[in-house]
Amino acid sequence: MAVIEKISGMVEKFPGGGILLTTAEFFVNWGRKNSLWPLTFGLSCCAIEMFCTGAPRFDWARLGNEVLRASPRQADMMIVAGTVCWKMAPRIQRLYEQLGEPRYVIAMGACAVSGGPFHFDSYGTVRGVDKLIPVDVYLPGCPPKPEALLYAILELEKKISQERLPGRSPEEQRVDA
Amino acid sequence: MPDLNLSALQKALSSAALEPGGAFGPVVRLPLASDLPATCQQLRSQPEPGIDVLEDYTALDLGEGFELVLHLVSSADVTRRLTVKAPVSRQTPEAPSLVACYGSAEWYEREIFDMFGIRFTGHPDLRRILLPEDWEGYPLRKDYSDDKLLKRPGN
Repeated sequence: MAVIEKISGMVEKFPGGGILLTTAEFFVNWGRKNSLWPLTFGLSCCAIEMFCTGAPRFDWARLGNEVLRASPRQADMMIVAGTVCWKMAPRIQRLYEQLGEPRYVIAMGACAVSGGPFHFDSYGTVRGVDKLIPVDVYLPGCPPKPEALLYAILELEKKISQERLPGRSPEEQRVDA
Repeated sequence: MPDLNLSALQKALSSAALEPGGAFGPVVRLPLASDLPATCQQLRSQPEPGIDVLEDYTALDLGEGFELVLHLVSSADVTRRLTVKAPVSRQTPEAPSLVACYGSAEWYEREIFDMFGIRFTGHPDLRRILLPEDWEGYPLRKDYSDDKLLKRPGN
């Protein structure tokens, strides 16, 4: 019953019985946000902080952010950790398109957010990964600490928990602020 | 500094100007880049300095022309170091390849070609090494610019 206590407010226990009442929307989002499978994908120094966040000291598996997948077909979340260069850009786009849907992207670090220290006077840097693929959460820092990445993952989970199921009208799909 | 026999070296490298000191050992300035292969062969075959490892090979854009910079070291004694510099003209950016003398020069020369557009004659496989193959221009030249590059405001 521990799980039900954690999500209280969204689930009603039927008095005296083993029946729970909830909405499909809540249940689907709850499942998605608690089992994000990130792609094993790092570009530069931010990736070191990312691996550290996955290691036992910080252990992002506590958030349901489970094993890093080596194939984009087995993953649904991508942490763009590092500098995106023009040579890498087509590969990043292809990896994103291969991710299972619904897919999510965290832009980790100053480079992935805006180009960072390579924003000006750089021939090789893409000024932000959002020029290539949609980004859900922007995480500034150079590099961000593991705690900051955990916060970004929690923010992504918050965003996922507010999603509306497809098939609703655009007005209904709009997430209430 | 290490016990490089400077006078013996100077005798061997008659056409070059030898400057003592420097962070990476004495600096040998060659008047022409075409002297490079012969100089490297001499340095290699010298028993006294015995400088047989090409540790780094890069170029500088000095505006009026380029300068090739070699950092050489002896595998027998890593404190024996030497810097060799040679000019390359901007109009005809060409230099002889050193692959025959130092095998490690192959990728260094590809990188210099990639970044500065200096062509190494006699190189076995002179292609871009870091940038995409269809890249236009040579980005480490001071006069480089492209559509995607954003200049820092105020500069």
